[in-house]
Amino acid sequence: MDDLAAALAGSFEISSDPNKVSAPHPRFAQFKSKSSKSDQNNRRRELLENQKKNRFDFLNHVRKLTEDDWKNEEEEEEEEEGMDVDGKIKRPGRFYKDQLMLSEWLVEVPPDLAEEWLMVLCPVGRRTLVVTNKFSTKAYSKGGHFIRSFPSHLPGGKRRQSQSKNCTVLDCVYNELEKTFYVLDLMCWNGHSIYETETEFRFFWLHDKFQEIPELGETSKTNPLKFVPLPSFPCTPESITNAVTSANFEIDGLLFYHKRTHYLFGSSPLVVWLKPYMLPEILNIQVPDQQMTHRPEAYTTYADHLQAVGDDKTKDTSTTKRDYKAYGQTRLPRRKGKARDQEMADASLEDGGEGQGEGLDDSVDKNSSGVVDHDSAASGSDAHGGGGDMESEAGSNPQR
Amino acid sequence: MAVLAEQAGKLLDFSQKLDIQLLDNVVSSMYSAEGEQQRVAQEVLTRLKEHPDAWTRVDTILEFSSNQQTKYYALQILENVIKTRWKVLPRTQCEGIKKYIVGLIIKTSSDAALLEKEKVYVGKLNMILVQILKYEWPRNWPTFISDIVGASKTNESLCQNNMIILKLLSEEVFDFSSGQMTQAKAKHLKDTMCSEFSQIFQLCQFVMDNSQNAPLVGATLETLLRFLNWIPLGYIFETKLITTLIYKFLNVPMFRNVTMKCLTEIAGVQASQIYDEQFLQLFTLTMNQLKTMLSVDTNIKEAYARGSDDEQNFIQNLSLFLCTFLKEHAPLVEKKLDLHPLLMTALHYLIMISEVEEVEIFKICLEYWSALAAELYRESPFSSSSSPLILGTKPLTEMPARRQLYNPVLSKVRHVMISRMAKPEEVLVVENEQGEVVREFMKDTDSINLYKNMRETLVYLTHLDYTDTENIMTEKLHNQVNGTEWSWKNLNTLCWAIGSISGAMHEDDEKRFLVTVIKDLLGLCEQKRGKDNKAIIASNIMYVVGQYPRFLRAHWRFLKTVVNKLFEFMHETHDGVQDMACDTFIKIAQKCRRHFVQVQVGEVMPFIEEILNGINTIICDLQPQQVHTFYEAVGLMISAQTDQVAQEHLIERYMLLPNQVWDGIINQATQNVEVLKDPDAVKQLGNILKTNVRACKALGHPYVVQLGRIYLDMLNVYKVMSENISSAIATNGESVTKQPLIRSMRTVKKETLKLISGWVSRSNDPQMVAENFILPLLDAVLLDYQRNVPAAREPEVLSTMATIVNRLENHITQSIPQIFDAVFECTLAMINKDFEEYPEHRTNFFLLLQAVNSHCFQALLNIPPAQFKLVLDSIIWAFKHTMRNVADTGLDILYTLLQNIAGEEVAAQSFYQTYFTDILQHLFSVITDSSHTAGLTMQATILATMFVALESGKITAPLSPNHPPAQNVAYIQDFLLNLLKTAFPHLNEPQIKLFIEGLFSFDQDFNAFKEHLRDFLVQIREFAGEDMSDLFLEERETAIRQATDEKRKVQMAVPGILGPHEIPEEMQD
Repeated sequence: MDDLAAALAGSFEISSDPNKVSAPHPRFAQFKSKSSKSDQNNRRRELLENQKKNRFDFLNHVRKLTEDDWKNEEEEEEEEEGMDVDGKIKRPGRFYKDQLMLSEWLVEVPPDLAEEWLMVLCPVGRRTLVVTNKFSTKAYSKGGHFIRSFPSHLPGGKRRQSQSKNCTVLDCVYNELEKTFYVLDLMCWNGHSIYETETEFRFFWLHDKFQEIPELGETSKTNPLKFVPLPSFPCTPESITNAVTSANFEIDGLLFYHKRTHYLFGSSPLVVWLKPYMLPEILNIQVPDQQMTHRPEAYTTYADHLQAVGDDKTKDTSTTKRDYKAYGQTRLPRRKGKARDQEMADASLEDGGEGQGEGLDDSVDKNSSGVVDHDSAASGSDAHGGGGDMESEAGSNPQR
Repeated sequence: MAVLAEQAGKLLDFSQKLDIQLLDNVVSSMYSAEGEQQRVAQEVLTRLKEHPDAWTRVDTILEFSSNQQTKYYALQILENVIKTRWKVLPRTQCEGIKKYIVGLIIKTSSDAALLEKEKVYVGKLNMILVQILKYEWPRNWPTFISDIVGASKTNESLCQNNMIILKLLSEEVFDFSSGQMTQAKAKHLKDTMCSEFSQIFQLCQFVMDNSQNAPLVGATLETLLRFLNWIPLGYIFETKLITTLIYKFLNVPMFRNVTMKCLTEIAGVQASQIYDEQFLQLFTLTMNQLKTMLSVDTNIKEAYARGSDDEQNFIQNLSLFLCTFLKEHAPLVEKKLDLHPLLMTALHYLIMISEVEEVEIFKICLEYWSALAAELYRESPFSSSSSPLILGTKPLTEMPARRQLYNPVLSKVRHVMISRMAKPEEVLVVENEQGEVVREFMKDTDSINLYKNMRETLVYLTHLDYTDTENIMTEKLHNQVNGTEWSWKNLNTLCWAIGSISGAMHEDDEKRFLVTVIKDLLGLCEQKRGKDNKAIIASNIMYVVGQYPRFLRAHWRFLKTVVNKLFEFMHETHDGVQDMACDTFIKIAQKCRRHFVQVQVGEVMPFIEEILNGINTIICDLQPQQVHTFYEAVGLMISAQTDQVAQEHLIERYMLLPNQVWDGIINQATQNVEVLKDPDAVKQLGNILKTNVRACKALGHPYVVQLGRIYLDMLNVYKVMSENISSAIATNGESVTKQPLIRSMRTVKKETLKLISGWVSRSNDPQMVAENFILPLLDAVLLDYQRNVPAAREPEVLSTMATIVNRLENHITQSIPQIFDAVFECTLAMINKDFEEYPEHRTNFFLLLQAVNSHCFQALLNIPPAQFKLVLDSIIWAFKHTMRNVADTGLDILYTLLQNIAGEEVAAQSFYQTYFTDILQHLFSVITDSSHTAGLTMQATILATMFVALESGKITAPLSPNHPPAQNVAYIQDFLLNLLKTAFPHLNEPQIKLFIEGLFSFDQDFNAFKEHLRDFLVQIREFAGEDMSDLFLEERETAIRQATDEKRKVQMAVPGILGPHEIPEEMQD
């Protein structure tokens, strides 16, 4: 049964995007994915390489989006289907589907995180594509469903603006309660497509242009829904901590953008995602307690887990080994999922010896830019906590 | 044009001689001209046809017209007059017409060439003769049978046509007589035909033995076919009929189809053992003959695909023969060891035919396989493959002998069922009246019924040998994986089959089997490239998983993984995946709900907590309709929490998101009510209310915590919406209701009402509901309804009130006057102009009346007389509707009212005095109206009740001012006599008197009362000449329903026969 559940949780998927955020973070996942594509750093390299060679008519694409005219689209999807080549530049979907640049989980911490990446705090809300055309503003869901149409002060967004070319395309998170579009990214402004520019430039333009139109941030009859551009931060531990601490909205998660990436379609390893409560474990960055309270109640670190198993064992000696396994089966981000699946090998791996383990964990810790080796410390305490009781499962821990 | 009209005048002038040429012209313009000219011609012809004397022209037309269509037209006139007015024609005229037709038939059919040429014309003449026979034979024409048999011997082509006449007569008397003739008459005709059948039979035999005339033989066989289902059995089994059919005709291509049909009729005869030998002979001879006609190794599937119509029909007829014979007489063959090879051959043919890709033929075979499998299972409800549990205790050799015989065939049947499994569910995408695109699950379609039958069969087959079923499925799954059978269609079919046998295996076997299946499917999903392929495989995996709730309940960890995977799929943008994920999620929630609110082994908290924690993220990519499904599913889980405090806490968190948005809008609206005109806000309110409706549906009474939270705001929003709509209509006219904004405002109103009535109907504390929820509701809704323009009145207000009355019963009695004041007159004014406008208001209005009448009768008694009259008038109005549901409600109300009033000593007498005759009169007007036959049972019940009350002296007040109470019965009899005499002048007084007497004598025996009434209706219609085939409609419906109920009872006892989602809730989880 366990194998079956593992197979279902692991490699069973429809879209084959690696590290997709709709599934649990691979590190905390209950079951390992068999997918070989977890090599995020390599894919990043390839993608950055390939985007230079990308030939795609973005102007025409903007026209399709803003004029809702898809007539001349040839069915080229067929040939692409199934060719999941790493580092391939994806094409946008037909109509309004698959138009946004989506993130992967941050699995392998990039070695150049502090220098080459920007962080954006993402508020709770629905991911939305906003397009202005024919003098009105339209919002579409990630899956391409039309959500609503309304006036706005965006170029081309309301009546009595000069020309129909003044179209704008934005990538937003819509918060229904606050009636606010938080703008993540800018793809086209007033007819100028900037899909093929780098993150830094797009972010700069986004803030620059929004400053010119302060009315966008106010609710009014001609701009019933607010537009607020989200600030970006350098990816140093202090800066991240500060940003998280001083955020004035409910944080859904952190998006990390590679500075050199263009605006691509679909999920990309050049944009990665973490939940705030994962920061300590993955990046070794502490966050305010208040953020940690958002983490799922079942969420524990590896250390806590071993402790819990140990306690349980002493409490009820009749529990069989099988039950231990069951105990470790809570879904939510829990690092030891693998301890059960891969048994000893991994367990020992966690035990301070990350260096020789599989590439995944390896890179995480090596690259968490010189911070304290938190994992080793944690595992160390495991050994005290309950390692002795762990039979063969954890018994080998102290020996390694 | 004017010319034509003027000429028409001449045609209709019966004082002039008929101008045949002119008539021919008009008829040909009717058939060949276009536009106005054709219209005028048609009108002339219709008027002529309806003229009471038109039939007097028929002979002239038939004799002199040269136009075939004109002759046909004349025959229509004649047929009309025979069907409706035969009894009022003078006898001499009848005789004349009869002779004329007979002569004409003889003349035309005596010449083979002419008969062939004038086929259609003669066909019509034959039909007319049969219509005449129904009145004349045997009383006025006792020698008809010998006449026709005698005449047949003179001439082969005449004989051929006479065969056709006999066939038609047989059909009229034996197949279509019900409701067309009074019961007594039908019986008389049948008896006469049986007693004179020997002459006919001799004639048939003579033709079959001696004639070389193919058309004649063909016609004879066709006629014989009609006889076979009613003739005395001796003619079939004590003559050489069977051998003649098989040896002489079965292998002649031109006769094989009709011969096979005859043999099928014979095979279907249920006779006591005396004819066993003959049945065995029938089987042996037919099978041996068949082997020479259709080689045993023929690939029938391919042959059928390439075959001509005639060949395809033969396959269908063959399947009917085999299935009919085996179903009735297989035990005879089973007893003869030497016949077993032949039996196997027959079954082999049937297997081959079952593979033919024609669903109608498949259904024939399926019926037999299903019966066979069920029978074998009931004989010995044990599996041939022993489960580990009973291994050793029950050796294989003990398999019943019959099972051993059929076993090899059963395996092939399993193959067929698994390879052809039908689609289990159908979803239709439709636009609802608010203009939203919604998905609807279809309940009764051909394909779904086919699925149910196939599933039942496969479940029995699985019970008989689950290892074999499992092996076949596993093998076919491997063929999907290795590519030899891979296709979307094949995969779907296979997975529907796998899903269909849920519950049929022992739990351990089922587990082992499912693990293999799911593993293979997961492997397949990984192996295939492309999202389309993966999405199909994924939805099949989820379908299979959803079909096995027992498995899910037993394996929490797996269940949880499935649900998490579904959550993942809820973000998948590929077409249909999100719908699939939501549908599977709710399916699982229904069957495993309890497991989500318990702390499972190895968990820190119940899974529902995790869902509620992450609900925001889970649903963020779903469409509103999918979100509603999701909420219902989660609501189902919460409904399984039995601790009230814990449940309330869950509900609060569950509704947190919608409540936040709701509060936001309400707060804004408190500052500025204009917000409630903002399209987005209105749309959001509609969506939130829909979410609430689904939550309420899932939670039932405990939803009260949430309802209380939003109740008053919701009612205020209702009022504002309603005012907005009214003023919009007042300013812009009714067409404004088509506008999106107005439509979404109506959605808000409708959903509000739906939510309230949904909750009230599920609530379990009427007193609490009445005290806390009803008054604000009435305040908000009733006055608004009354003041609104009709177009803005929601019919749901009425149905909500009806629901409340039904649920709260006497707790609401005191509010009935308030409700009536507000809705009664204004609704009545909307629906009393005709029978069609505002159909929903109509239906709901009467449902409300029905509810009040049944539960709050005291309130009805207390209303002022004028209003009571209005109530009674509206009840009468209701049962006069042709909308069947409204008429049924009306009758129902009247019946309950009569019963209720009988219990009120004082009120009853004045009620009878005022309304008894009135009601009687109106009742008779619908009983005798052919568009109301569907309600006959209820009409009869009410009539009987009224007569009983009258006869037993319960009515002590005088019903007529001129008669003392003691003469009430006599008075009513008189009253009815006059009533019916005026309405049906063609009936004579003794006939009516007899009928009225019968009404009194039968009123204690309901069935006799109804038959009596029904015979009277046939008599009325013989003049009126209307179709009477619907008179028995209701009995047929009841019979079918009873049969279905019986069947279901039997099914409940066999594990797996009812799918996991059909089993009543209390039986599991």
